[in-house]
Amino acid sequence: MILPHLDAAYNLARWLTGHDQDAQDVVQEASLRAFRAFDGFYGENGRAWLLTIVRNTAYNLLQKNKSLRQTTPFDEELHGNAGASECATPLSLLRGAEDEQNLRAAVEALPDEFREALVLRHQDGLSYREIALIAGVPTGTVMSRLARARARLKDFLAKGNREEEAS
Amino acid sequence: MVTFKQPKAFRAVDSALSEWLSSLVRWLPILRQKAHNLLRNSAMNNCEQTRQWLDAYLDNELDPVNTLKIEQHLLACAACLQAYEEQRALGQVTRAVPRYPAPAGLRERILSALRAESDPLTSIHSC
Repeated sequence: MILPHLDAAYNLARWLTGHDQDAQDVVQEASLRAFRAFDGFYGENGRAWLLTIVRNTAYNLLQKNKSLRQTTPFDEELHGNAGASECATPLSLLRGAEDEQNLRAAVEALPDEFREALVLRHQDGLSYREIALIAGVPTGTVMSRLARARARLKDFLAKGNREEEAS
Repeated sequence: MVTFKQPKAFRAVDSALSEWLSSLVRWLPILRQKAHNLLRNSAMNNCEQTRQWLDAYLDNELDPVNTLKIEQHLLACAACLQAYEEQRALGQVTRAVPRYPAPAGLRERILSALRAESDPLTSIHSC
Protein backbone atom coordinates (compact mmCIF):
# COMPACT_ATOMS: atom_id res chain seq x y z
CA MET A 1 0.00 0.00 0.00
CA ILE A 2 2.78 2.46 0.90
CA LEU A 3 5.85 1.33 -1.04
CA PRO A 4 4.28 1.30 -4.54
CA HIS A 5 3.46 5.01 -4.08
CA LEU A 6 6.74 5.98 -2.46
CA ASP A 7 7.91 8.03 -5.45
CA ALA A 8 4.66 10.00 -5.65
CA ALA A 9 4.70 10.52 -1.87
CA TYR A 10 8.29 11.76 -1.84
CA ASN A 11 7.75 13.99 -4.89
CA LEU A 12 4.74 15.70 -3.28
CA ALA A 13 6.52 16.09 0.06
CA ARG A 14 9.63 17.47 -1.66
CA TRP A 15 7.63 20.08 -3.60
CA LEU A 16 5.71 21.10 -0.48
CA THR A 17 8.58 21.29 2.00
CA GLY A 18 11.28 22.45 -0.42
CA HIS A 19 13.92 20.30 1.34
CA ASP A 20 15.13 16.75 0.79
CA GLN A 21 15.58 15.85 4.47
CA ASP A 22 12.22 17.35 5.45
CA ALA A 23 10.55 15.47 2.61
CA GLN A 24 12.10 12.17 3.75
CA ASP A 25 10.94 12.81 7.33
CA VAL A 26 7.45 13.65 6.08
CA VAL A 27 7.21 10.46 4.01
CA GLN A 28 8.43 8.32 6.92
CA GLU A 29 6.01 9.94 9.35
CA ALA A 30 3.15 9.66 6.83
CA SER A 31 3.95 5.99 6.20
CA LEU A 32 3.77 5.26 9.93
CA ARG A 33 0.50 7.15 10.24
CA ALA A 34 -0.91 5.26 7.25
CA PHE A 35 0.25 1.98 8.75
CA ARG A 36 -1.44 2.78 12.08
CA ALA A 37 -4.66 3.95 10.41
CA PHE A 38 -4.79 1.16 7.83
CA ASP A 39 -7.46 -0.83 9.69
CA GLY A 40 -9.82 2.10 9.32
CA PHE A 41 -9.29 2.44 5.57
CA TYR A 42 -12.17 1.10 3.51
CA GLY A 43 -11.70 3.14 0.33
CA GLU A 44 -10.55 1.96 -3.08
CA ASN A 45 -8.04 4.69 -3.83
CA GLY A 46 -4.98 3.86 -1.76
CA ARG A 47 -2.76 6.35 -3.57
CA ALA A 48 -5.08 9.31 -2.91
CA TRP A 49 -5.40 8.19 0.73
CA LEU A 50 -1.63 8.00 1.23
CA LEU A 51 -1.05 11.33 -0.56
CA THR A 52 -3.66 12.96 1.69
CA ILE A 53 -1.68 11.80 4.74
CA VAL A 54 1.60 12.98 3.15
CA ARG A 55 0.07 16.38 2.39
CA ASN A 56 -1.30 16.83 5.91
CA THR A 57 1.98 15.71 7.48
CA ALA A 58 3.90 18.14 5.26
CA TYR A 59 1.63 21.05 6.23
CA ASN A 60 1.99 20.13 9.93
CA LEU A 61 5.76 20.23 9.56
CA LEU A 62 5.62 23.54 7.69
CA GLN A 63 3.41 24.95 10.41
CA LYS A 64 5.91 23.81 13.05
CA ASN A 65 8.93 25.17 11.18
CA LYS A 66 7.46 28.41 9.95
CA SER A 67 10.84 30.06 10.24
CA LEU A 68 12.27 27.44 7.91
CA ARG A 69 10.29 28.61 4.94
CA GLN A 70 8.03 31.64 5.00
CA THR A 71 5.06 31.25 2.70
CA THR A 72 2.98 34.24 1.72
CA PRO A 73 -0.68 33.68 0.97
CA PHE A 74 -1.52 34.45 -2.63
CA ASP A 75 -2.74 37.97 -3.23
CA GLU A 76 -3.96 38.77 -6.74
CA GLU A 77 -3.00 42.44 -6.52
CA LEU A 78 0.35 41.82 -4.91
CA HIS A 79 1.51 38.83 -6.91
CA GLY A 80 -0.47 39.11 -10.12
CA ASN A 81 1.34 40.70 -13.02
CA ALA A 82 -1.59 41.12 -15.35
CA GLY A 83 -0.78 41.63 -18.98
CA ALA A 84 2.47 39.71 -19.03
CA SER A 85 0.79 36.64 -20.47
CA GLU A 86 -0.53 38.65 -23.41
CA CYS A 87 2.97 38.55 -24.88
CA ALA A 88 3.28 34.77 -24.39
CA THR A 89 3.18 32.68 -27.55
CA PRO A 90 3.29 28.86 -27.56
CA LEU A 91 6.85 29.05 -28.92
CA SER A 92 8.07 31.53 -26.31
CA LEU A 93 6.54 29.41 -23.54
CA LEU A 94 8.34 26.32 -24.76
CA ARG A 95 11.58 28.30 -25.07
CA GLY A 96 11.21 29.50 -21.47
CA ALA A 97 10.78 25.90 -20.32
CA GLU A 98 13.99 24.69 -21.92
CA ASP A 99 15.92 25.73 -18.85
CA GLU A 100 15.16 23.13 -16.17
CA GLN A 101 16.28 25.43 -13.35
CA ASN A 102 14.02 28.19 -14.62
CA LEU A 103 11.07 25.82 -14.76
CA ARG A 104 11.68 24.51 -11.24
CA ALA A 105 11.97 28.09 -9.96
CA ALA A 106 8.68 28.99 -11.65
CA VAL A 107 6.87 26.14 -9.86
CA GLU A 108 8.60 26.84 -6.55
CA ALA A 109 7.44 30.47 -6.75
CA LEU A 110 3.79 29.36 -6.76
CA PRO A 111 1.73 29.50 -3.54
CA ASP A 112 1.55 26.08 -1.82
CA GLU A 113 -2.05 25.30 -2.76
CA PHE A 114 -1.41 26.08 -6.45
CA ARG A 115 1.83 24.12 -6.47
CA GLU A 116 0.30 21.01 -4.93
CA ALA A 117 -2.56 21.03 -7.47
CA LEU A 118 -0.12 21.40 -10.36
CA VAL A 119 2.22 18.65 -9.09
CA LEU A 120 -0.62 16.21 -8.43
CA ARG A 121 -2.20 16.87 -11.82
CA HIS A 122 0.83 17.01 -14.08
CA GLN A 123 3.35 14.81 -12.36
CA ASP A 124 1.10 12.14 -10.91
CA GLY A 125 -1.75 12.41 -13.43
CA LEU A 126 -4.44 12.61 -10.74
CA SER A 127 -7.99 13.59 -11.72
CA TYR A 128 -9.66 16.78 -10.43
CA ARG A 129 -11.75 14.58 -8.14
CA GLU A 130 -8.73 12.87 -6.61
CA ILE A 131 -6.94 16.21 -6.09
CA ALA A 132 -10.10 17.59 -4.46
CA LEU A 133 -10.16 14.58 -2.14
CA ILE A 134 -6.51 15.05 -1.17
CA ALA A 135 -6.71 18.83 -0.67
CA GLY A 136 -10.14 18.64 1.02
CA VAL A 137 -11.72 21.21 -1.30
CA PRO A 138 -14.52 21.10 -3.92
CA THR A 139 -13.65 20.09 -7.51
CA GLY A 140 -14.40 23.64 -8.71
CA THR A 141 -11.70 24.98 -6.40
CA VAL A 142 -9.19 22.52 -7.88
CA MET A 143 -10.16 23.73 -11.34
CA SER A 144 -9.66 27.37 -10.41
CA ARG A 145 -6.38 26.69 -8.55
CA LEU A 146 -5.02 24.88 -11.58
CA ALA A 147 -6.10 27.67 -13.93
CA ARG A 148 -4.46 30.30 -11.72
CA ALA A 149 -1.32 28.23 -11.25
CA ARG A 150 -0.96 27.88 -15.02
CA ALA A 151 -1.59 31.59 -15.58
CA ARG A 152 1.11 32.44 -13.04
CA LEU A 153 3.51 29.97 -14.63
CA LYS A 154 2.82 31.52 -18.03
CA ASP A 155 3.50 35.00 -16.65
CA PHE A 156 6.72 33.84 -14.99
CA LEU A 157 8.04 32.26 -18.18
CA ALA A 158 6.93 35.18 -20.37
CA LYS A 159 8.63 37.62 -17.99
CA GLY A 160 11.82 35.54 -18.07
CA ASN A 161 11.80 35.59 -21.87
CA ARG A 162 11.34 39.36 -22.01
CA GLU A 163 14.23 39.91 -19.59
CA GLU A 164 16.42 37.58 -21.65
CA GLU A 165 15.57 39.43 -24.86
CA ALA A 166 16.25 42.81 -23.22
CA SER A 167 19.71 41.81 -21.94
CA MET B 1 -75.17 53.80 -59.53
CA VAL B 2 -74.53 51.20 -56.89
CA THR B 3 -71.80 51.94 -54.39
CA PHE B 4 -70.17 49.15 -52.45
CA LYS B 5 -70.15 49.87 -48.82
CA GLN B 6 -67.84 47.79 -46.59
CA PRO B 7 -69.49 46.22 -43.59
CA LYS B 8 -68.63 47.85 -40.33
CA ALA B 9 -66.73 44.76 -39.09
CA PHE B 10 -64.49 44.77 -42.19
CA ARG B 11 -63.59 48.39 -41.65
CA ALA B 12 -62.62 47.66 -38.04
CA VAL B 13 -60.37 44.72 -39.07
CA ASP B 14 -58.81 46.81 -41.84
CA SER B 15 -57.95 49.67 -39.51
CA ALA B 16 -56.57 47.30 -36.84
CA LEU B 17 -54.46 45.57 -39.48
CA SER B 18 -53.01 48.81 -40.84
CA GLU B 19 -52.32 50.03 -37.32
CA TRP B 20 -50.51 46.74 -36.52
CA LEU B 21 -48.49 47.00 -39.75
CA SER B 22 -47.44 50.58 -39.06
CA SER B 23 -46.40 49.72 -35.51
CA LEU B 24 -44.46 46.72 -36.87
CA VAL B 25 -42.61 49.01 -39.30
CA ARG B 26 -41.89 51.37 -36.42
CA TRP B 27 -40.58 48.55 -34.14
CA LEU B 28 -38.71 46.59 -36.81
CA PRO B 29 -35.35 48.42 -36.48
CA ILE B 30 -35.54 48.14 -32.68
CA LEU B 31 -36.33 44.42 -32.86
CA ARG B 32 -33.52 43.95 -35.36
CA GLN B 33 -31.07 45.70 -33.04
CA LYS B 34 -32.24 43.61 -30.09
CA ALA B 35 -31.78 40.36 -32.04
CA HIS B 36 -28.33 41.52 -33.13
CA ASN B 37 -27.31 42.30 -29.52
CA LEU B 38 -28.64 38.94 -28.36
CA LEU B 39 -26.56 37.10 -30.96
CA ARG B 40 -23.45 39.13 -30.13
CA ASN B 41 -23.85 38.47 -26.39
CA SER B 42 -24.34 34.78 -26.97
CA ALA B 43 -21.12 34.67 -29.06
CA MET B 44 -19.32 36.52 -26.25
CA ASN B 45 -20.65 34.04 -23.71
CA ASN B 46 -19.36 31.21 -25.85
CA CYS B 47 -15.88 32.78 -25.85
CA GLU B 48 -16.04 33.43 -22.13
CA GLN B 49 -17.24 29.90 -21.40
CA THR B 50 -14.72 28.35 -23.77
CA ARG B 51 -11.83 30.17 -22.05
CA GLN B 52 -13.20 29.13 -18.68
CA TRP B 53 -13.40 25.46 -19.69
CA LEU B 54 -10.27 25.30 -21.81
CA ASP B 55 -8.15 23.84 -18.99
CA ALA B 56 -10.74 21.21 -18.11
CA TYR B 57 -11.07 20.39 -21.84
CA LEU B 58 -7.31 19.91 -22.18
CA ASP B 59 -7.27 17.83 -18.98
CA ASN B 60 -10.03 15.53 -20.37
CA GLU B 61 -12.25 16.49 -17.45
CA LEU B 62 -15.25 17.75 -19.44
CA ASP B 63 -18.35 15.72 -20.20
CA PRO B 64 -18.98 14.78 -23.87
CA VAL B 65 -21.66 17.46 -24.44
CA ASN B 66 -19.46 20.35 -23.29
CA THR B 67 -16.43 18.84 -25.05
CA LEU B 68 -18.38 18.97 -28.29
CA LYS B 69 -19.50 22.56 -27.60
CA ILE B 70 -15.87 23.65 -27.07
CA GLU B 71 -14.71 21.86 -30.21
CA GLN B 72 -17.45 23.47 -32.30
CA HIS B 73 -16.55 26.89 -30.92
CA LEU B 74 -12.83 26.39 -31.55
CA LEU B 75 -13.59 25.62 -35.21
CA ALA B 76 -15.36 28.97 -35.55
CA CYS B 77 -13.34 31.32 -33.32
CA ALA B 78 -9.74 32.20 -34.20
CA ALA B 79 -9.09 34.05 -30.91
CA CYS B 80 -10.18 31.08 -28.79
CA LEU B 81 -8.18 28.73 -31.03
CA GLN B 82 -5.09 30.81 -30.30
CA ALA B 83 -5.84 30.66 -26.56
CA TYR B 84 -6.20 26.89 -26.92
CA GLU B 85 -2.77 26.62 -28.62
CA GLU B 86 -1.21 28.66 -25.81
CA GLN B 87 -2.79 26.50 -23.12
CA ARG B 88 -1.70 23.34 -24.94
CA ALA B 89 1.90 24.62 -25.04
CA LEU B 90 1.65 25.50 -21.36
CA GLY B 91 0.45 21.94 -20.69
CA GLN B 92 3.60 20.64 -22.40
CA VAL B 93 5.66 22.99 -20.22
CA THR B 94 4.05 21.87 -16.96
CA ARG B 95 4.51 18.22 -17.87
CA ALA B 96 8.21 18.98 -18.42
CA VAL B 97 8.67 20.13 -14.80
CA PRO B 98 11.18 17.58 -13.42
CA ARG B 99 10.07 15.19 -10.68
CA TYR B 100 12.00 14.55 -7.51
CA PRO B 101 12.72 10.81 -7.42
CA ALA B 102 12.72 9.17 -3.98
CA PRO B 103 16.31 8.80 -2.65
CA ALA B 104 17.75 5.29 -2.72
CA GLY B 105 17.84 4.87 1.08
CA LEU B 106 14.28 6.02 1.76
CA ARG B 107 12.64 2.68 0.99
CA GLU B 108 14.85 0.85 3.49
CA ARG B 109 14.43 3.61 6.06
CA ILE B 110 10.64 3.30 5.85
CA LEU B 111 10.69 -0.49 5.88
CA SER B 112 12.75 -0.55 9.08
CA ALA B 113 10.49 2.10 10.67
CA LEU B 114 7.47 -0.05 9.78
CA ARG B 115 9.16 -3.19 11.14
CA ALA B 116 9.91 -1.38 14.39
CA GLU B 117 6.31 -0.17 14.55
CA SER B 118 4.83 -3.64 14.02
CA ASP B 119 7.23 -5.38 16.40
CA PRO B 120 8.89 -3.08 18.92
CA LEU B 121 10.79 -6.00 20.51
CA THR B 122 12.50 -6.89 17.21
CA SER B 123 13.76 -3.34 16.84
CA ILE B 124 15.18 -3.39 20.41
CA HIS B 125 17.01 -6.68 19.72
CA SER B 126 18.33 -5.50 16.39
CA CYS B 127 19.81 -2.36 17.91
